[in-house]
Amino acid sequence: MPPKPKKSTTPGIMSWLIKKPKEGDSSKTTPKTPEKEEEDVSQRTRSKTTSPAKPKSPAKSPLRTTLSPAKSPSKTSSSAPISRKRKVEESSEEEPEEKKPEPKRRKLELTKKSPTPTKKPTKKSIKQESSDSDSESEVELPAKRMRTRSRIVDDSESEEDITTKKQKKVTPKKEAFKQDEDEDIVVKTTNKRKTPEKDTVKKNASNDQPKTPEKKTIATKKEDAMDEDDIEVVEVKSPKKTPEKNKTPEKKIVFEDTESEQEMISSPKRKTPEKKTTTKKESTKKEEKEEEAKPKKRPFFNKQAHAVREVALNPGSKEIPVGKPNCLKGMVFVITGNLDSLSRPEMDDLIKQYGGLIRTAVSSKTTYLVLGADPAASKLETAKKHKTKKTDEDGVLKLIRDSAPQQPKVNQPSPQKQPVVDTKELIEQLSKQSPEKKAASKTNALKPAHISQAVNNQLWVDQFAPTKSSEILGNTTQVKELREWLTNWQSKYEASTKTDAKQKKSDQFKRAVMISGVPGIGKTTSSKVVAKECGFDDVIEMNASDARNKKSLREHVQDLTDNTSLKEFFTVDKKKMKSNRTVLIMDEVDGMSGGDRGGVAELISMIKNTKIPIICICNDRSKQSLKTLLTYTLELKFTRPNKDTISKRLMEICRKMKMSIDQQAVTLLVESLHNDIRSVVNNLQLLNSQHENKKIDYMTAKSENIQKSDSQTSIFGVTQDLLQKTTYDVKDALDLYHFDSMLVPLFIAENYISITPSHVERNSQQHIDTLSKASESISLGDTISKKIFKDQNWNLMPDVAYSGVARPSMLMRGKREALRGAYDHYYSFPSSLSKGSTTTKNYNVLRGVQKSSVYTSSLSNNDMLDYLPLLRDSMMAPLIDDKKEGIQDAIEAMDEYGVTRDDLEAIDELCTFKGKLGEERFKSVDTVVKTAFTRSFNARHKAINKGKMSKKAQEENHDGLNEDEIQIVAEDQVDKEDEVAKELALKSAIKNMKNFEIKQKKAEAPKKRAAAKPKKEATKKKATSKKISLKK
Amino acid sequence: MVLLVDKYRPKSFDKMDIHKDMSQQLKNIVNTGDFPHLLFYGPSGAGKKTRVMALLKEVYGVKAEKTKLENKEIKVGSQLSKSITVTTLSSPCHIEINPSDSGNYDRYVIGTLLKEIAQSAPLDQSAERNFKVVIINEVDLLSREAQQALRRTMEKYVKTCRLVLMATSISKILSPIKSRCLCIRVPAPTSEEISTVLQKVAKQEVFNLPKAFCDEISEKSEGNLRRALLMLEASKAEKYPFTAGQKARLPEWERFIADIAKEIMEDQSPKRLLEIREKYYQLITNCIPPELILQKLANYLIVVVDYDVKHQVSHWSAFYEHRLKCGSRPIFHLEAFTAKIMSVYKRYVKLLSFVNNL
Repeated sequence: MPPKPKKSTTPGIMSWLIKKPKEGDSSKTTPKTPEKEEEDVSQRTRSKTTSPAKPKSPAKSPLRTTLSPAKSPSKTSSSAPISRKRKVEESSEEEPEEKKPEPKRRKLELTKKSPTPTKKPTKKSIKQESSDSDSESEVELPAKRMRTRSRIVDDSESEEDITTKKQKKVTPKKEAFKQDEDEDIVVKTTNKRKTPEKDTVKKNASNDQPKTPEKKTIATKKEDAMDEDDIEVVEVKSPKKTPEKNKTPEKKIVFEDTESEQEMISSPKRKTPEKKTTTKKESTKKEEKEEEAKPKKRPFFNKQAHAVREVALNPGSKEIPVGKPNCLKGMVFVITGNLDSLSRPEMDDLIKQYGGLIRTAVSSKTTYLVLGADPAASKLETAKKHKTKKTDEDGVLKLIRDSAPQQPKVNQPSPQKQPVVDTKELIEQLSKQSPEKKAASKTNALKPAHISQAVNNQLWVDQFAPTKSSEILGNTTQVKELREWLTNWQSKYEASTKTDAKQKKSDQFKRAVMISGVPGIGKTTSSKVVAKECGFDDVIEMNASDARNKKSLREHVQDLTDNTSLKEFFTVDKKKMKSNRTVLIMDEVDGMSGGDRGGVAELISMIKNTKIPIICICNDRSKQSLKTLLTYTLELKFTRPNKDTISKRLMEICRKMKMSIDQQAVTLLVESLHNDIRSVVNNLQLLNSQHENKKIDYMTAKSENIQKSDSQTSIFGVTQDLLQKTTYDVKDALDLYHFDSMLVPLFIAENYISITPSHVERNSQQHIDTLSKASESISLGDTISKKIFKDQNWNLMPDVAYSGVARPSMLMRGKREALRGAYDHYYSFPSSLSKGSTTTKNYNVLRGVQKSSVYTSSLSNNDMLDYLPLLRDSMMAPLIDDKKEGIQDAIEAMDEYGVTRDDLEAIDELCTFKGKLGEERFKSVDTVVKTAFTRSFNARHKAINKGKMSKKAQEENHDGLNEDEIQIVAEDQVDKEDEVAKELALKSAIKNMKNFEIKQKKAEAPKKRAAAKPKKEATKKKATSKKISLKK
Repeated sequence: MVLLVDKYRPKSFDKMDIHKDMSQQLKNIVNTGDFPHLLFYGPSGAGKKTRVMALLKEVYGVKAEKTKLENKEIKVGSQLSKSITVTTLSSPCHIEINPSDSGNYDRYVIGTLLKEIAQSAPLDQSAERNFKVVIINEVDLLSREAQQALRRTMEKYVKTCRLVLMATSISKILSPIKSRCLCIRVPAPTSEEISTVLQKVAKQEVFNLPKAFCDEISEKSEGNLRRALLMLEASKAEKYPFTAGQKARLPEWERFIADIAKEIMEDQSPKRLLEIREKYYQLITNCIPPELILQKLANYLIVVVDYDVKHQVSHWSAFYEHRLKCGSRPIFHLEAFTAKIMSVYKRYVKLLSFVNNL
């Protein structure tokens, strides 16, 4: 039900924060910008919700004509002052409370007491106020402000969250949406900004429906929506941005502005759910209807997270039906192409919600291929092959609709009561059941803890930790192996002590085991459980909390490893008597660094001599410090358990804890936490406490947005989040800067160019402008960070975070493009680091060359640059032009300027700029000439050195030279591709040797002292090089 | 084989072709037997060093020419725990140091070396001059602390040593130092003067240098005689005999920068920006100072762009030169400059086509 664009002549009341609400129509005087409109909405919704005197207004609305500019302002004007007043009054009361640092705890508290309805609006206003005042000053001091503001927002959010949640139990997820929206501050594209408003319209529209049940058709619904005062405004402007426009929004982003804009945008969104609750109380709305609205909210939420092409063609053009839960169970869907009214993620969610499965590729198991516009040809083909049923969006919707057991109307005898009754019943049921259950499960390790929760406040993770190895999820082979190793340990150990010397190293018995794997998959648990089962009564665990340096390890653990447990002396069992019943678990060995100096080395020596089994556990086995340790241990790599296994176990837990949750929701939970059992269980417990006694379905779980707590662990992931995750706001960006305050700015600077901002056209003027802005910001960030280091002024860190990370990433965020060619797959590591070290290296080379000549030693760097190319040419030219005859000239030139053989190549590199201007000169020198040149250069220098250097140094030098030469000859030989070349080289090498000898004699004639020894060596060398070349 | 520039460096005042009056003045100064601390300043390639060496020869005779390179270990750091190597060029009567090579440790170099030299008076008391000369290069690059260290030493050891300071600009030298020295400005030679020198060298080397080509070299050398001679030799190596239309051969890095300017004009896109970043990296890793890159690039751009954009180019190059000085990673600033120019130029081109269409 897209509203008509013509209604844009709505009254535009100036934002309440800029001016006081004013009657009359200002739209004629002020041009309508989207920001203003949004302010309007906020203004109106605000006045409405804050004035309990006017709750009936929506009910009246059907009678009014669609557009009544004169009426609506009057209404707001009367209510606005009241609300303001109250806001001021109450804000002073509420403020201290707001500053409490633990919103989470308060959340729980607040759920117990039912808040008064007046409280809710006030919270809002505080929030609004604080954020607004911030947004004004943000322009000047954005980085500092950002922090404070977002904190306030957080606080008020959670509070408001609770209050609303309590009021309308049925839709707890709405708040979550709001939260999402709230966090979506700053750089926003128009399309994104538009969608939520649409949602509100829809929500409200659906809310209104029950009031006028006769007009159930779509057309009337539309009218209904328009009848509502505040919705009118929304309705009116949403058509401005039609979905087609979304793809090419014209609005240019002005960073500072958008922030404050966003502030205002978020307010209407926040308002709507409240509004809904008020209307709902009067209305005879049924729960199903509510659910209908839910999926429609998705577009806003999801669109941000996904690429532009996943936007639906006509978002919201179809009604989402309500079906029987799990009506799509067992069906497998593959979606291709752009769908009509739902975006891809929306459709995914819808199908998952009803128990269907989504796959990306068509196979024989696929039930339906859902076709949209521009379907992928390959999918169609495979579908043909497998004879998969094809359907489209409507088909899916129909499937859902048809599954609904009855007509929705019939199904709503007491819609309002339903949720209340639901919970009551549930509690009753529980209280009835629990005693029985308790009695029944006394022997069971897994107690039904719902009732006893108050008493037994144990964490679920501990409560449901496996006690038997059969209970361990996944990693069955590894656990089995561990078990075998432990049971056979004693015998093998004894065997190995006997036949120690004879045994080969390879099949030597490993006295320790190394378990590696990501966190939360049960490494520690399995090792403990298995050790217990294998009869090791004494399990000694040492983890990172214990001091584990060399000394303390020796003191505390050494005794264990070569002692036997006292216990065994008292046991009667002969069999047990024999064996050692202690096992040492070294947890988190990859954390043994820093304070634990020498710990790993000591551990290794312990392993060598241990008399008890040692189990080492680590997360990252590729760590450098563990390399040596790994050679002494048997390796067991634990992997993440299958998500189905985990969800199965979770369902079991839920059943035992009397928690009602959808299978789909559990799967989602497991997926979003990357199969980390520990955190899944923890989150489950949290969910349970948040949604007491309520059924948690897929959408609720999704709205909890649990994956957010899953922080990034790699710098590349952080970069990706910063540059691509549209849900991130400035606060998140600033936080991510602290992931690694050195590297993150570099990563951003390295990769920002490859991002095409989502709000601009590729290579357009705006694109380049944004790029220039981002680069300017990065450049500023660099100057600030230098100041930090120079003056040790660490107060400036937030400024670097803002200008070096947050601002450029906010400006650029969008889609990554492979601009560097075919191998440009992912974010690259900052080249400025490697280039920096190359630069330093080259400067050292340059200085070395410069300082070794009388002519150049006093030159400045810039002057040396003039020198270098000619210097290079004067040495290279004879080699290239005159070949072997030029060698002498080249060497003379080099000696004159004190250039060594290595320097020559370094200079060559320094003077070469790849690309059009070609490559290194030295490469064009004939290999044969090169060899001869090297040889004669070395020989000459040996002679020169001999006069100057002491005997010892001389010897060293000789050795070095010999090695050099051999290497060079060898390299040259490798270069040869065919036999002919080889032969030629051989001949020339021999010839060169002769030449060189003659030359050498000549060169050394004046230096009579140095005649004898080099000659000898030359012959020796000749022999060696001959040998080598012959071998080749 | 020695490069022409070194081969034909005049060894005495009489052989100098440019700034003859100055040479005469210097000669007069040293003829009195003693001379004050000297501060030579002027652009590079103007002949500062040549004059100083000639001056030394005038004072000490041939023994000033017997120079050798020497590496000296100097203890640095607050605990004097670290040691760095400093290369000095010295003769029996003088020593030449480049303290600015030592970066932050330059004050230790100044302190240690100067004291060492100044405290030991020449053994040969019978010698004509019982003071040594210390030549300090690139004084303008010395840190403030090092200059302060210099200030006291200059007065304290004035009996045993004379300082000859070299700088391209005196704006960064402390005024107390300036006031203790006789400041001598060596201006860059005019292109006519350079041409005469070039012709003279050509004559001595016996090759033919057409006037047009000679003029082009002296024009392109920007008043830097050293560069002019190097260019002459490079061009000769590239192509001889010289032809009429031959261009003077610029160093490769300069041509490389010219290419970058061209590329900016051709296309303004992220892809191009990435390509140019790579080129900047090549320049930087090849030891071309970033400030020089920016300066040259701006020069090329200003020539190429239309009149309306010229002031933008100069403004932004100045802006980012400042950033370069303040920052630690030159690539960011060069890149930001490029992006800015791209943005400005793209807008201009768009506007131009818009106007043309009207």
